[in-house]
Amino acid sequence: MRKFIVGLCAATALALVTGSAFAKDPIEVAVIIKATNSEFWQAVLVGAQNYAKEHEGVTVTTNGPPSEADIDQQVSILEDTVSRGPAGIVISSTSSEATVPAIERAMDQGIPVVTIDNRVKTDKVTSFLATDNVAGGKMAAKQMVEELKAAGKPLTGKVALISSMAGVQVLIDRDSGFEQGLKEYAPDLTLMPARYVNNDIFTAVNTAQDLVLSNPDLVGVFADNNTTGSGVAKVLGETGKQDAIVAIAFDSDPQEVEALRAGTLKALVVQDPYGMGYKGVDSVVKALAGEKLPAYVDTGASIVTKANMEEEAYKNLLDPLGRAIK
Amino acid sequence: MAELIAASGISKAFPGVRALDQVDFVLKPGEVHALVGENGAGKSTLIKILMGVYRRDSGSFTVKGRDIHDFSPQAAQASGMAAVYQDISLARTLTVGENFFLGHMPTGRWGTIDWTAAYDRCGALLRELGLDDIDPRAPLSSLSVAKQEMVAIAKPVFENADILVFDEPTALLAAEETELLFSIIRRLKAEGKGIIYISHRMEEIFAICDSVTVLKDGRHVRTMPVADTNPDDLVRLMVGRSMEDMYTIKRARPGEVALKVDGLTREPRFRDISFDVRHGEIFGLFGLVGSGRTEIMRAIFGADAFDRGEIHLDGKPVRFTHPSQAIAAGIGFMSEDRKNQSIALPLSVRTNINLAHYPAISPFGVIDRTAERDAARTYVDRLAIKTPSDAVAIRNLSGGNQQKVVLGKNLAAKSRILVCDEPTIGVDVGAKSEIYKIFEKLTEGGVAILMVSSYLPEIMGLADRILVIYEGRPMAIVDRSDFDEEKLVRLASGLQA
Amino acid sequence: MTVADKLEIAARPGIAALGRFRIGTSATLMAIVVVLFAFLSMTSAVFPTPENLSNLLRQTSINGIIALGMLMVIITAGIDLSVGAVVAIAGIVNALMLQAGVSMWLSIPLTILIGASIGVFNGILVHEVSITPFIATLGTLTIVRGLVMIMSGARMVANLPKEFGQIASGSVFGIPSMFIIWMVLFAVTVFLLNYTQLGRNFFIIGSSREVARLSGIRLRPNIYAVYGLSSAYAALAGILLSSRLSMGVPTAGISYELDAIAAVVIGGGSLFGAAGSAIGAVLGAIIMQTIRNGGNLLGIDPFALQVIIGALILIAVGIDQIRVRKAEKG
Repeated sequence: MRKFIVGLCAATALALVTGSAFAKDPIEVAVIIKATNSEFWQAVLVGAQNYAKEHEGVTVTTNGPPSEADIDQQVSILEDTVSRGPAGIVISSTSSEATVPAIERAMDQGIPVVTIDNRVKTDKVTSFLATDNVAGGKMAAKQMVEELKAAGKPLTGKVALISSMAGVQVLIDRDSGFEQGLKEYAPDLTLMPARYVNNDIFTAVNTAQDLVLSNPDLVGVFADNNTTGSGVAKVLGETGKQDAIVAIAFDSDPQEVEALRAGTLKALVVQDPYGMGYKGVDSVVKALAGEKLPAYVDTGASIVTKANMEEEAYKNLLDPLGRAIK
Repeated sequence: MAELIAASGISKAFPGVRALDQVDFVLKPGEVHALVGENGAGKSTLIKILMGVYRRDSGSFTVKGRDIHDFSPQAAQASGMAAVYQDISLARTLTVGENFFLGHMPTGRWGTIDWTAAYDRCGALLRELGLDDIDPRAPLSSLSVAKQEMVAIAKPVFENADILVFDEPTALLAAEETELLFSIIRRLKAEGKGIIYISHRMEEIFAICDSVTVLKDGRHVRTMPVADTNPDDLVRLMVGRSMEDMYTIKRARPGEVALKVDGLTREPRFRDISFDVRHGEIFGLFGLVGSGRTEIMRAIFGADAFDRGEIHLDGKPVRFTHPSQAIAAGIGFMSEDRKNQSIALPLSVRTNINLAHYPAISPFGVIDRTAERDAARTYVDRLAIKTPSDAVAIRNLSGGNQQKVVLGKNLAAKSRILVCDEPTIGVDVGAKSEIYKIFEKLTEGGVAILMVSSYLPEIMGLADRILVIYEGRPMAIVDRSDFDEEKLVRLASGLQA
Repeated sequence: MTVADKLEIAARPGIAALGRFRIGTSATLMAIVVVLFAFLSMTSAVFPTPENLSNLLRQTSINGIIALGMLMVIITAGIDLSVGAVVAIAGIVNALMLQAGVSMWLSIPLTILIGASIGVFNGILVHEVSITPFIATLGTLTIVRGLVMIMSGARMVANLPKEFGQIASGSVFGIPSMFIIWMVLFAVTVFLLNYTQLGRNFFIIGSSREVARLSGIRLRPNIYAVYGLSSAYAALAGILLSSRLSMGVPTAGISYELDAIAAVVIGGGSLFGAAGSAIGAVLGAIIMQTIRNGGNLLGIDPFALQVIIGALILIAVGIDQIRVRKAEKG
């Protein structure tokens, strides 16, 4: 019976995609994010919803706990969703383990599950879409070296790393990618030990202030998220050292974009949350249609600079929320 | 073993005070040894040194023949010593039984607590001591203060301590409980245990103690068998004046009615209480613990609500809903629970004297610090409060001096009517007589004093009239000329005189 | 026993009671500050520069201001866990008003008033509903954090007028204006605690509520006032923080309540109430931030730095406890 329904759904999906008119019930894809309080995850939802708006017969329901700390709540949301039985599920699981049983149950019931952003510890998923944060960190290092070269500076001196928080895997990946990259592209630059700021922007400002003041030979700063990026930009702007010190940050909140325009940040490493949401739903629909999907898809990170920030593609990356179809 | 405790040449100094100076003290098995002396004579200091709370500056002592060098309260306990202080130091939220076993609950086979055994053993001892009405399973806080005190007294017996210190054990006890305490002490004595008994009540010392050591100003005055002395001599040794004089105060001629209470009722605590107090008069309220006397005081002061009845102040009806109104109307209040209700322990003597005075010296909420300091100095001087300075925290003062600060607090607030609940509780003989002298001066100046006391000699010595209450109901108002100890006790026990 | 010891025993409790300089505690704290400054000046050429010192004062001011409000609550034997959330809501509310074109001369007092009303809400919970301060302010913390997210849509509120940003970054005769504002509040707090009936009431209530009531002190206005003050101070800190960052940050102030409590406690405050001084809280805040600043300058391992700050709290409080016990035992 279950098989039959799945088959029916798949047929419907196929019919929809190919534009047939006899399909009645839309395909419901449930999208569950890590936290509703963040622009990043809102962008994932925009991508998913845009997909539904562009494709007739696909509906998207969205859900998620208020903050990334609410792991339990996310697990209950997933369990409830599986019980409700949508056609497919897209989830960015906060925990790599807690959601495994529910995900496996869904797969057993024939509901395809596409995980995004964070890998869960099971092979029973339809596909996994994520940014390779190590690669993103490496890109930041490469860009920093290029900026220094472009400014005609020797590749010696100190580089500071301001990390938002200790013990967060995504940040650890970015930081270690940056470190690897720096070693590879400019081995004579010294990377100072990371300073952590508890994701508090005031602490980020204070820390950047102290580092800039106490290290006259500082040539670059890497900030691994929006909080640290905004803090670093603030200090460089105030001290007028935006040209003496090359600052590169992850993410793209409005303050960082502003800083990019003002030159206090030289480049942003931007992920594609919109793409994650869009492609996540797309993968579910394809899976329902019986298509074979790769186990892992890198949704990629891009370097945005003052030079390219006005181009359409990069504009979209910087402001994914602005892409929402009304 | 000849001596349980043998201390010689114990000295101890605090800044500005020589608390103990070359004091000797010996406690023998089977002896009840009274420790008496005035406020600041050094009794508490001596006990605290013996119990390991303080370190001595010089001198030596042995416990059961063993030389003591470094002592601590834990070491004292391990040596079989136990002290019951005035303020009950038990866990109020735990049951009586748990308090007995604190930290050493009997365990069953699986290492779990054997509650039945614990409560059985506790109950057995309570019955043995005649405390049948205390349920071992009752939380301590559900017991009256007197019963809590009895639990505190029973605990060291249960722990089989052989050196026991009772510091003012009867302060909170009614007559029958005091009798129970005495029977417990006799039993301990018969078992060869040694008891140090601190009390300000002469008749208790003569009722239960074998020998007495008198301290004065940190010095050892004399140790002698109780049989060789009498209350008057003892008081003379302690303070240099006799007991007879103590309650003899000059009586003022009563003036107009200051406070009139009519049909005051708060079910179920008290009902139909009516009396009046004149300016210059000391009016006594006598009753057993739990008879509702404290509740009546609090209701008059606006601290608790009441159901019906009227209160008139100088002829005008008043009804206070908050103590601030009573204070503003000129009523002062001294609670029986000084530490929790009358004074702010961690704060200075100066602040405490001004506690109820601040509204008067704070125009627009800004304290006139000169007036604040002057008030403090005035009352420290006038009431002869013994303190190194008025900046010292009041917790460092003795009970008597703390109580004088409470008086100062009420005087600074210009109280015309003083409501005192057990004004000399935890106060030694010397300070007591000073407080009586202050009462004398106050009544001379027309202050009306309404006083509760469970201590008969005191209330009979001071009051002009006494209202006796029994279980919240008025029994009779007795005039000074008709004061008779037996009559008052009969009335307080619900019997007609 | 030395003369100094004697003086201390006589002076300590009483003078603490008056809320003035606690000679013992403050001397210990001053000594720590001097040692820290001397050590950092020797090990880092940058530390004693005017630029770093004014950075340090700016960095300390936010926690320093919150700690002064927290101090008063702690003196009443209460605690205010909602201050960090109030920092955030004040930053957001003020920034939203500024964005809407309201003059900062109107938006700032309004924001402080809103902050104070959150404090009065705490006071109502504590006094009327008899919820213990810890739980009451924990609830308020959570509510306010939620409100901040709703009001801001979890986004930073930026593009504020330039002159607003200049409040925090400006300086007068080389002294950072944030520090000046902190010192003004310090003076206000000293005045409140030592020279007003209100401040005395805080100490008396902290020592025992029943004693306060029976001494004719009405608890309600005093409890409302102390929580109102604490929140108003936190709101002002929030405004300064958003001025410093030139934006309202919804996640600002997370766990700032703990830093403020730490500063008060290092400064000789007791969670049992009726102890603590404004100078102590100020020195406590300075010590904590100096260690962080020095750690950044010297590149000390950030995790080791956390261990150091935690240990410092315990050592400071421990020394004080031992000193007090010694004084009592003699």
